[in-house]
Amino acid sequence: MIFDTDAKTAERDLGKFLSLTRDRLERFEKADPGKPQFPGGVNESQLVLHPGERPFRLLKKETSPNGVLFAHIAPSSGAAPVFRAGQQARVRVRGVTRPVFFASAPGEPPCLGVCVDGQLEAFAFLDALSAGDELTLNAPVGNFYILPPRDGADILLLSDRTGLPAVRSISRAFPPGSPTNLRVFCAGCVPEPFFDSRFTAVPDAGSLPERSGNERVFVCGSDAFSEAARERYSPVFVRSAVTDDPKRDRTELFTCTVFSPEGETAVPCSAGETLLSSLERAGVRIRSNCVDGTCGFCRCRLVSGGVSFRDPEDRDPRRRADIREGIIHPCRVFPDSDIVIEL
Amino acid sequence: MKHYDAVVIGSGVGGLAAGAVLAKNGLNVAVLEKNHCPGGVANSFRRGRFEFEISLHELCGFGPPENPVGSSRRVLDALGLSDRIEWARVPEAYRLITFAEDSPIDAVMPFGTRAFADALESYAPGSRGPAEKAFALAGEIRRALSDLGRASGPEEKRACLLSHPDFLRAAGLSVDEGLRQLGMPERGADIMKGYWAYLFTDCSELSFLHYLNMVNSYIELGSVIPKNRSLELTNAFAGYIRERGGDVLTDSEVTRIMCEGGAVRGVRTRSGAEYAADGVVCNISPLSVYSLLLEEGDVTAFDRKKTNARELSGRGFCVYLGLDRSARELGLENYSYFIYPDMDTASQYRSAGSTATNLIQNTVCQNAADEEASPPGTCILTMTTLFSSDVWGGVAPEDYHAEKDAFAARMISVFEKATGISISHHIEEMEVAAPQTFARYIGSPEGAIYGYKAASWDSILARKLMDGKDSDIRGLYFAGGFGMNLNGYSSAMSSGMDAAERLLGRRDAR
Ligand SMILES: Cc1cc2nc3c(=O)[nH]c(=O)nc-3n(C[C@H](O)[C@H](O)[C@H](O)COP(=O)(O)OP(=O)(O)OC[C@H]3O[C@@H](n4cnc5c(N)ncnc54)[C@H](O)[C@@H]3O)c2cc1C
Repeated sequence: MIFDTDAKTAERDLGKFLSLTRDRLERFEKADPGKPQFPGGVNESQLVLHPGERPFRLLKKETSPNGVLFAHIAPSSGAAPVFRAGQQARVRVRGVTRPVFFASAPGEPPCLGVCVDGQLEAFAFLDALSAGDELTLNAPVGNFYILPPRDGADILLLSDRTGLPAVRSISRAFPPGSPTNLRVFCAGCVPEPFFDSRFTAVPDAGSLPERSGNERVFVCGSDAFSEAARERYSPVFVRSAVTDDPKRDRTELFTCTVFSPEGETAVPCSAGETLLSSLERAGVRIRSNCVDGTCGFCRCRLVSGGVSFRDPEDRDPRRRADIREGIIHPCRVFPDSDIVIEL
Repeated sequence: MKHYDAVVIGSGVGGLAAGAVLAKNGLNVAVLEKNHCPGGVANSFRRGRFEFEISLHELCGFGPPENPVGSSRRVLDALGLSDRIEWARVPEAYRLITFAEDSPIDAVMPFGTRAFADALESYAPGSRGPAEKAFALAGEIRRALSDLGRASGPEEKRACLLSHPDFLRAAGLSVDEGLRQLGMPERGADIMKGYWAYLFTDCSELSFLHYLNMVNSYIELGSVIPKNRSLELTNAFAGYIRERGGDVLTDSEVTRIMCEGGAVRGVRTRSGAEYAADGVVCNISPLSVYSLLLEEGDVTAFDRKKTNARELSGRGFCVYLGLDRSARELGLENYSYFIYPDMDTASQYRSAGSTATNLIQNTVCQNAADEEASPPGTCILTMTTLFSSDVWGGVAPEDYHAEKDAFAARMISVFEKATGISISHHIEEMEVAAPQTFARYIGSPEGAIYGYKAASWDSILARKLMDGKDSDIRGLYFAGGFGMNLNGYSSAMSSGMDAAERLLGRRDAR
């Protein structure tokens, strides 16, 4: 015996036991018989934070001294987009979707920015719009933002011309005098109207400064520019956002056979560009989001054939269990032979 | 219209377990998942050099090879999946830290009932005997439940119950009452209540029988994690279903369950695809199902009342940290840290209703169980807390990032203060998930991650005793954290298996 019990207490405990179901049933009987209501609260606010596609209107375009197109936009209805400075919007214009940096700070009237040198297609389709035209924005994406508990107070922010929109957004979100100290170096850029005393325009990547103290290095620019920064400052201190698709110096053409719930197709793919670029060009319906390997939206299984990974092994953005299943992220691989994938 | 024998809505471990058991029994099944990847919270994500586990701290009910028992084993062994997964064993039960000024606790509790009782005695003299009694009682509870399962008819059940008086007593007690009746000194009781946040119902209300059963399972069998994160479990289930001809379809959010004549007929997805099905297993909350997925006319008044009566359990908040030093260099010696201001769980539960006063956390250092969890010279720390109200629902979207960063920063400083370990200068990667994140990712009401609250009137025993049917709608079943067995991986998997078996039974009966 563990408890102090006898026949009498057992009968009493039995009564209590039997009341468990009775009590529960009673609760049910007494409850509101109306239609259950799904809560608002966080279930509604998450829709504002991560809306599906929403229509926006182009208000005004301006081109900056460095060839950056700034597009001032407004939602056709509803709330302004919520994002962190340094994030991108997924923008769709006439069926094409591209990530485009916010150039405004959160809370300001929204403005997107794209440089002619960078995401060429994104530039082309924003350039094709005139005031009053409609474009569609999806939820903000990307992890290129300053998080004070993680990054500390001192930030070295570097960009080439293509990274200027993100730099504008970040510098406005953390204005002079805020607890986050920015040192901003823009390579190959002439001064922009939004530059303030924290900005230095330097001729090229070769003239970037040393990292000082505990500075975290934020780099926004072409794939090559980011790579150079990683090498120079050690990847551990560098967070980057890349403004063009990775390329490789090869030109062979292969065939990629795609199995999906919709059937089987075979499309050409090039050894010189990411598999995702080739698939998108060929019109294969494949989901993608961040295009830097982290979100895993384009995750698919490599059935056969060889690929090269864009990232070194210790930064392979795939998850370990996925690697065991032969999963690849087409946004971060180049084909080395004919391949077969399963979506 | 494509026809399946059964459709599962949602691919959390509960849904996947249901789908796998149905596929094993030869049914043609589809698991429909709204996200791009199956698994629900049994998933991971990458940032820089780190891969973060989204949810799993520890899987219980998975006995070691020399004692291969437990509820998780039951499901995984039945499907032959136990050996498909690389496991790491969690080194010790927990370290409990409270920082109440009068009598702070800092206790490291080992696995193994004897070792646990010894440790309890060393921290709280006079606790060994009561602890031994508690573990003996857990054994008696197991025997009673199994006898009860075999008894048929009210008379036999009554006799069976009366022959298990200790079980009967435990069934009517709260955790606080139970520990008191075992003669446990207060400090021993406080230490033994360390796991309470795992069930997130305060100990003046939480069923002693339920709690003891869980504690005993952890302490007797230990716990494990898949080395390749819970995604490995997800991939194993999904692979199993596909190998048996079933479908696991992603990007397929179910927006309607279609019924006819009081029985399910199939489902429709957001893209408009319709699938006919004889049975539907819901791996999502009954609240979602009855408020969003069913036509009003298909739902009985009783199902509506049942749904309205229930209370949600904790809304999740997690801070995922990748640190640029090894656990050893930082002094992180333990795997699981339960940190509470004090062990007055009723007041802690109330405090957890507000961001200003919620100071509880369970923090896990993955590398303490698996040195290779992150690159050499680094480690992963994951902090989790729960909210007992929908406070985050009141945060305006434009304030959301600042509020969650601030709350995360406070969780970090609470951890530093409680352990004396400094981590804030070593954060290389950091991600924060608030109730909004869970609401978006798994679609749960208010971002609840622990299903329905195990209130005294809605305890696991009361749920089980009422068992019978899941819904007045024929062919509709529930599996997962919002199911009968309450939340947790082992419970969600078991409830998936149970739901599949009920569905199969109904099929056989026809
Ligand atoms: C941070 C955290 C820590 C935890 N720690 C532990 C632990 O250490 N040990 C433990 O045992 N348990 C733990 N749990 C609890 C455990 O993870 C859950 O109980 C369990 O994983 C729940 O699984 P589920 O089957 O209920 O499904 P969920 O994971 O909730 O998945 C439900 C799925 O349904 C999908 N879905 C929703 N609506 C629809 C729709 N309309 N159509 C299609 N699909 C839909 C969602 O996208 C999701 O994939 C933890 C949970 C969290 C969040």
